[in-house]
Amino acid sequence: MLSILIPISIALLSLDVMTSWLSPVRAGLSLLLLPVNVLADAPSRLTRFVGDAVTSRATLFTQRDELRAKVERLNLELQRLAALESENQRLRRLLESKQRLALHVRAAEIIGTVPGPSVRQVLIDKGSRDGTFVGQPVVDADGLVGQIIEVTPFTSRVLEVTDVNHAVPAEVVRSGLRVVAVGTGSSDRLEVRHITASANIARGDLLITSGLDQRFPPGYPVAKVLSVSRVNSGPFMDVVAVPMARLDVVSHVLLVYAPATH
Amino acid sequence: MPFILLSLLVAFVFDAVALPDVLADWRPAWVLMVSLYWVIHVTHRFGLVWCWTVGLLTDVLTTTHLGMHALCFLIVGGIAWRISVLVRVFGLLQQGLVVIALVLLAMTLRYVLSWWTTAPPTGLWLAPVLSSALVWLPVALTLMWLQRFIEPHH
Repeated sequence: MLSILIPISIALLSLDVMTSWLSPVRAGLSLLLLPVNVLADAPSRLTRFVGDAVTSRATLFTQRDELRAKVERLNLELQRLAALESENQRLRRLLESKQRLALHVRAAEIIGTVPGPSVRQVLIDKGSRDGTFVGQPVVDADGLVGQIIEVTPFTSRVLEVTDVNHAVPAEVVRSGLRVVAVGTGSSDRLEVRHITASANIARGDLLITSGLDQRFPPGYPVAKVLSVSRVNSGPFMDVVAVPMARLDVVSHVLLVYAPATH
Repeated sequence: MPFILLSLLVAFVFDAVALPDVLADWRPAWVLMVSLYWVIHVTHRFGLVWCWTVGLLTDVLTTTHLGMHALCFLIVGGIAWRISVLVRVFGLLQQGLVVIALVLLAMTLRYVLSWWTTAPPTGLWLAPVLSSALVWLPVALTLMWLQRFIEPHH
């Protein structure tokens, strides 16, 4: 048996390293393992559920008041935004530049986690039946979460921005500097690579998606710069940023579909 | 067989449950330990094809290249299978030493293979061996208890 299975394993391994032909096999098997992912996520679901279920009346009242106040504030801002948007479009038309398009989003629930140090992936409850596709951007209310890397009929796998294999082209809002934010494997850190010592970037700067990758829609918050430091007087700086999306705590994310024209 | 599958399912869940960043490197090799126990104790039902399949599923679960864990599990499973008659007469603690040595071999193989297949792995690659050693006794006792349902004449 060994003499058959060892060559098969080595062949599989080489095939998987060199090509992506095996991804349907992987998708099929991961569907088989879905119960494992779902069960493994049960403890955190339970804590969320218990947290929701045993909130006191007083807390609920305070939360309701806070939410009411927030809705009013957001409504006000929305009115202002509508005016600004139409003005922005008029100006863009005057400049004959491309109009920014509104985006369709759809909510999805996180149903499972993926183990492994420095692996930052989650499973969500929307799959190809809901029209998800590989490369689809995923956001939450606060910022960019990541992108879909594997789709089965009922579930999809999301690679988060903090995974070591993820990088996203971004832009510093304040200075317009274009950078690349790379995941570190830790849930609250991104690294901004290859920043020259003279670059205009500072602590507290907001990074947004630049859209240069043609994959993520431009303008979504990615991260906030936490620290900028010079290493050994070398030509580059160490820039560390904190992702805006609350990757540890979110239970729902938004899938971004192709932009719809106005 | 249902009990073996149940124990594997639980082991897979333990392998998949989210751990805080500090502990992520220290996750015991649950699935591998459970597989090795069954290879040693119920050789006639849990053989090398099982080891290989379990390894392949581990590859899918941990998103490593397909075949990496399959190959490691197969090789250490093969060794366990060869020496199972001898190891079965040992006490649980001595069995633990054998199993931990095999876990160490599997982790080393995985480490070497991941150098070949992807970027060099980060983190403490020997940490799982230590944590596996710590949890061996409860794991073995639980499986021994389950084994009584599999072979009632024992």
